[in-house]
Amino acid sequence: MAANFWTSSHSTHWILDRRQLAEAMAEDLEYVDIATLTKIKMWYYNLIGKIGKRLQFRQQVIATAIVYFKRFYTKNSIRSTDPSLVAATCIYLACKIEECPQHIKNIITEMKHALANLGGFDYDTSKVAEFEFYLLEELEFYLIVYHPYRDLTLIAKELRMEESNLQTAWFVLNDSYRTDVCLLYAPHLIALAALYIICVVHAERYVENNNNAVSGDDPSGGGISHTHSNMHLHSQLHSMATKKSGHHSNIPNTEGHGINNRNMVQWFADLNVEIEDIIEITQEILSLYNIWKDYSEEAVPAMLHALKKGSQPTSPQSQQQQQQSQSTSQPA
Amino acid sequence: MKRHAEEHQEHPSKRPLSAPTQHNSVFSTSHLPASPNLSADSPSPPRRKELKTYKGCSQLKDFEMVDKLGEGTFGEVHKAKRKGELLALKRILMHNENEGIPITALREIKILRRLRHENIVPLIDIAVNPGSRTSRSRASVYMVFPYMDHDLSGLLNNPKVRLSVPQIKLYMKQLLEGTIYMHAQKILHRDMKAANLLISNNGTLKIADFGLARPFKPEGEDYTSKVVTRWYRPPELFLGEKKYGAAVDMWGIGCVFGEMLFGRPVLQGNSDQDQLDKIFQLCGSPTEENMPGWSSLPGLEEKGVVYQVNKSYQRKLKEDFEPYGTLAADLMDKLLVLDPKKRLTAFAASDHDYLWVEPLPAEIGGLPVYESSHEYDRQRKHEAQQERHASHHHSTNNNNANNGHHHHGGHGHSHLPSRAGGGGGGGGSGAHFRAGGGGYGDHERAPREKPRSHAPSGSNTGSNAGSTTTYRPIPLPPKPATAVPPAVPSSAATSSANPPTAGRRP
Repeated sequence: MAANFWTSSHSTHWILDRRQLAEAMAEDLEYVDIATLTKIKMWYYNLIGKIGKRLQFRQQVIATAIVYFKRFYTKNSIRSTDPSLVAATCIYLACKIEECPQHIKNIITEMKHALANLGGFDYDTSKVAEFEFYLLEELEFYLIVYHPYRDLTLIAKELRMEESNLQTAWFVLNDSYRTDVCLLYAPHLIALAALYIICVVHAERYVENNNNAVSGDDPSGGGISHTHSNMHLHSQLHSMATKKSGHHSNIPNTEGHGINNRNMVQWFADLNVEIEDIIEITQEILSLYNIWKDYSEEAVPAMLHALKKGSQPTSPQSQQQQQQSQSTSQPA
Repeated sequence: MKRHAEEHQEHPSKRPLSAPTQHNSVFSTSHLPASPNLSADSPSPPRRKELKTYKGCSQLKDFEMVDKLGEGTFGEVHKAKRKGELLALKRILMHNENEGIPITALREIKILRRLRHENIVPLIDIAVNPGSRTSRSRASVYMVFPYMDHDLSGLLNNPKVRLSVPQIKLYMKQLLEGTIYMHAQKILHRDMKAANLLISNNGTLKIADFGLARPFKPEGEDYTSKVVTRWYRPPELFLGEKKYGAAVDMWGIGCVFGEMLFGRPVLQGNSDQDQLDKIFQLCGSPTEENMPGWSSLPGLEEKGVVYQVNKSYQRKLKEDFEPYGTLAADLMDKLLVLDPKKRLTAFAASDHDYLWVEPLPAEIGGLPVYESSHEYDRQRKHEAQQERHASHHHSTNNNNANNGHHHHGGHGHSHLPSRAGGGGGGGGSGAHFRAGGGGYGDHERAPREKPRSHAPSGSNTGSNAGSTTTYRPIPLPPKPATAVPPAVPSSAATSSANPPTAGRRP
């Protein structure tokens, strides 16, 4: 979209703060802990992504649907709504807004298919159409969503970034939609954070390669080559996430070895943005990889059940206990 | 790096209201909860309301409906009041309940939300009426606009109104400025016409009705050529061009300009074929020179109709408009150009000498104030009149009555299928098209393909689908001195039997 982000509703109405997000989650958190809630949401983001892929949407359509889903849940609790109806409606609306209209029945068929073994999808077209109205109301009819993909492409062009690095950064952006950064920060900051992550990965690999002077396994000279699968990146990011100890404000020693031989530290420093924001986004994305480690699709339905059926709110104390022992108590 | 970050504090991003001092990511399980007292202090709250601290869309009950301003199949417009402020509420009709809000309405909202310019009607708010399951009332959605006193079509048809040259220049200037902005934002309006230009009593003009508007398409992608009300539709669209651009709006602006000079629409074709013929009568027959590629355009292939093009017309536009001044004629001459590539852009038109020599455009606020005039008002007046004089205006009475009648045929709600009944067959294709003009009303969804089948007084209209009326030189506008039924035109005006609405209906 050609219009200016800064005057858009995305900028003026839909950049929230963490307090608002925390308030939005409060009701659900009386029934499950935050890690569980996060996993439940992640499951639905994945569901939206899956259906988008099956219907061959552009990534931007999927991203818009996920943002609608997130925006809706800044005003509603998952417990008091049916997230699969919300997800279906978000997909349907995103298709209209992104100009790739789908018949409502296609989306319902895909939902039924995807949820076949998980309680099914018990809504017909009129229900989804009706719910679209409530969704629009909650979105306040602010429908245009800006995404970081475009910014990333522009930056990549300016840096004359290698295709492989751009590709990796793109994957990081896809992953960023599993976090709430798109509700908290302007898209160009998220794009910069993805780039920042690439630089750090890049630099760490460079250091690694120098340390094991052999470096036979990476003939590309320290670059992230496209032979590295997404999974490879994930494991690397996992290790970064585990190692994270607040040193992210310094990209390790990349002078002269940054992307396209540019000094990326200087490049970031020269930007007219707040580096703190970028670091915060980076940490948010890295902590996603942390939580991803013990995420399993199969465990989620039980979590959802606990959220929906849990009749007694867990008291704050037990909630904290639960958090401490959450890794064991999750598959309730 | 830190140092730099501090130096660049003026970053325009909106800062969080309460920026956390720590990075308490919701994902890092190590430091939870984000702020410990959040979950503790309110045990079982009705949080949904509390969360709605930021401004949402409004509820319909906050508005007091005053009057109806327009009606059509695509929407219905009400004058309303909220806290003393006069507003126009345009209802979004659901064509198919099972498809939710029509994509066309969402497009209009999307585009209007994106545009912010003095000369483009602002979408102030959205009002929703949730309906209720108990009373079986349907949910409805309204777009909220400021109330404007006139639309240009209504104003031109008001017998008490005669536009002065500075006034025409003022409107023209604003129309072009709004269009420059709109085109710079990469939006095509695609329904430029006098009825879609709203005018307030202080002389402000705002472009309205973005129901057919679309963002520019990347090169090579097609649009539909079935847009723009017939009288304002450029020749390339009749010939089936699908790769058009901003020039389609500029043709419409040329027509509006001519209409302001002339006092009546310039090219009032009563069928698509007739419209095209009238265009060529005025602008000259197309040749490879004045309209390259015209003969290879697909024509109306969907319907298997190929337009007949008379090859012998000489362009006489400039002579026809000479009485309004050489510069005015020159601007017209550069706007109504057959070749879209040679048509003036909005920017170039705003630079035309016409707008920069004496008499200069009037100042906003320096114009006479008129009683409000909307196309819809006229329709209602006509209807009332028609009822009173039913016996005088009989079906045999052709010329005089026709324009007035046709207005009804096209615009009047009485002729339209109601929304409930009209979705399917009842109104035929007419049900898909909006009836009314008026900037607040909706737009036609597509051009009228079929000859009108339900002209109220059908004696001669039935046959004119095929017949071609001749274009006549434009006389200086004959303005009745007294308050005569406004839309009954002088019979000398044009031999076209079909009224504005004909252009909008199949």
